[in-house]
Amino acid sequence: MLSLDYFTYLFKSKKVMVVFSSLIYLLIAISAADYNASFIIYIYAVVLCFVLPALMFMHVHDKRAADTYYSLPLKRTVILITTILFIWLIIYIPYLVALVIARLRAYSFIFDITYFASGFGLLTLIVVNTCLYMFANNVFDGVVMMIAYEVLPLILHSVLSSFMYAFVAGFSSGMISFIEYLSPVVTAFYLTNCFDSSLSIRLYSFISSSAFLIVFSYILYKLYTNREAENANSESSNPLAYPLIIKLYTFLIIMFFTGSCFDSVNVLQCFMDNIFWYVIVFALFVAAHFIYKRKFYFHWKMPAFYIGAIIVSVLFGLICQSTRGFNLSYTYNRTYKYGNINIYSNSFDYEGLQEIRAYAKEKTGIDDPNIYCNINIDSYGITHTYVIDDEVKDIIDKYRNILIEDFYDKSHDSYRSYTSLYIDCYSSDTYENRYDRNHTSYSYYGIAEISMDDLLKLVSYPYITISLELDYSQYQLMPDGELRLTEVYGDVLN
Amino acid sequence: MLKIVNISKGFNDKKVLKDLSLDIHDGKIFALVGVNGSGKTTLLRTVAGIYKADNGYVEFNGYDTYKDAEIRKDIFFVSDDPYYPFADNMKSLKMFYMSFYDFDENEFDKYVSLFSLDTDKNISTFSKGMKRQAMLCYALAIKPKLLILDEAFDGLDPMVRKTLKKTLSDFVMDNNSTIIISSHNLKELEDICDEFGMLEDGKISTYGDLLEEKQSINKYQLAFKDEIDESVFDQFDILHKEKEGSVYTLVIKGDKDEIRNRLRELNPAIMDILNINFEEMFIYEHEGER
Repeated sequence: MLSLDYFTYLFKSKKVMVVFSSLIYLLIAISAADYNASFIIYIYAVVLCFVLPALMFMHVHDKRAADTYYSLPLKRTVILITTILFIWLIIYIPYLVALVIARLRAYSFIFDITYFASGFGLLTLIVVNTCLYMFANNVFDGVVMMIAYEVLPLILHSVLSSFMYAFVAGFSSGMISFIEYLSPVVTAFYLTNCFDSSLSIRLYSFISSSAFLIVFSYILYKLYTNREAENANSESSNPLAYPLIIKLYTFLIIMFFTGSCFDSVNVLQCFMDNIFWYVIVFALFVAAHFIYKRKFYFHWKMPAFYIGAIIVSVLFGLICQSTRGFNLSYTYNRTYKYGNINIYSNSFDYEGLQEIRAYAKEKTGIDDPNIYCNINIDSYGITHTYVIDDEVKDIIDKYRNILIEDFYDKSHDSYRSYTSLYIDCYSSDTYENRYDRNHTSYSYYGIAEISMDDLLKLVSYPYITISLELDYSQYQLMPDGELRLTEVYGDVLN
Repeated sequence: MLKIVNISKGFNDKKVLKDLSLDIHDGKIFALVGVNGSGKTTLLRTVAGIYKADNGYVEFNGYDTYKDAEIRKDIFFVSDDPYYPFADNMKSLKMFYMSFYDFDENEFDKYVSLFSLDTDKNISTFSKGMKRQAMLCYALAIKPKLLILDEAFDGLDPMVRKTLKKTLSDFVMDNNSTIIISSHNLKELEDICDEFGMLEDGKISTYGDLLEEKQSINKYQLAFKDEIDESVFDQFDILHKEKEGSVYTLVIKGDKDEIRNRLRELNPAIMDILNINFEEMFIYEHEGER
């Protein structure tokens, strides 16, 4: 499975590269600022995980080199494994040394499992990138494949966000954070502990990295051992190369535009306004085929695919609309015990907060049409962590449902009023561990009138504070119903 | 022994090798000839285990050259455009081959001095001929049982060609190795090859012992006093026919003595019999096939 002779040859023949690459590691470790040295070291390791597979496996994309390598008395599996191991060692060992130096410099040396976890993450990244490089039949296309596939989760995230924002009331980006785990770069990043990742994030990253390693190792093995030498330096016609990646990107971009249109009040008008962009994307679609074929290429299937993709995206949008985003907004979890909940509302457009406005006028004598109300529920107190009461949850749910109904009511201008509700729900009992498990974020926008009775009920709980802003001053609603002036023009009052 | 059994190989829709079979015995120098695009390089790469045959298989000493990596220790392929890693000199590249083969450093030094090559110089600065000589040094130092040379004499000056021919002959004698050489320079091949194979339309159209084959094809020059009916030549296996004035030049395949006797029966005024060389044989065989 491994050739020591070949490994020795690789080491001897690439010693200049190994020394140069290690020196850069050391240079970063001793010169970068203490607080971000390990991050920069990691970034450099990631860059090497792209560059070295492209360099070390260049022979598969060079006809002359392929002749030499494939006629060697070595099984292709042995060449593959030996080269991967070599790449990994020359990235990982200097990485470890540099990391230890950086941490010693910062007086923050600890020895923990992340040293090994980062090695695992980097190995996964090398295998994935090598595999992506093998999708192509020449060096340029190989690099394009590596970048295109590694960026794909980011594009997917944008597109999904675009649709979710359009169709799912209360969507927050945290709901699709799982997409992060589709990126080997991000999972490797979490495994390195550069950003003090929580245990659950590291666990998910480990699971994701393991899955990547198994799946991509298998594909890489198949691609490398069954590779035909005659394909070296030719068109990258592997179904997983340009034929798939061009279609994927085009479809996702179309979905992005379609999703953004469904978010607007006049969907049809939005489509008309976007025609220019649809044409531009089609031009890019044709240009991508030019890069793929290295010549101008046009086939009737191309516009057919493009029109088909638009139709599918519109149909998908219509289904999302009729099912209220597959009912995803109703998956609100009421079992949470702790959390941060904020409701902001103002009467800027003279429709909301009429009751509160009247109440404030009665208590303070000020009638401000631009009244602003903020309800802050924070169960994590300094000395005590509160469990959120069911009555509070009921009131929050009532407003949440009003906002959801308003979200799907496209009969009015979406900006006739503005209320927002942000909910962070946690199941952990300490603020520090809040992201460990079962953390969900929701945010809702829309119109809502907040009842004064509800405010008075809410304010009776010790973990809730309600403030009103009127006439350039801030008042706090007290449990006895009084409004206490707390801030004027930025001055905090006792 | 090299056994090529019913191999077919195509690229996209184009079939290059079609159900080709061939046996080459140990200790022979085999010349592979054919017109441009006939599939010589494809055949050599398939034999070397670089290309996977679509059908059929290639065996060397009983082992599949594509599937059994170990047998490739006894096989060395010198491509028509050899690969040299960037910035390597002959010394550093030696390390590459030493990692995979039983490499004889003394032999290597011997061939390097024979071809007067500078081992410290970057190979990329070598001329085309020098690059080829450098690759031959590695090939011969490995002492393969099967040496495959694609366009062996391409880019070599006459002196080096002469040295190479002698070196290859000695190499076969000393190691009982088999060499397959493809080249368009048939005059050079003729000097060293024992057997030949002519590749045409994806198949070996003619193959056998070079000397025997050459003896079976001769050039006959005949002059007649009177005009004769040319249909009298139909009884012969004529590969080429030419007439200039009253002189006929015929290239006929078959037993020389028998043909001479039959031609005498036509009462020619003059009859000369000339030997043909490998290049002429190739041209006439090729014309004959058409």
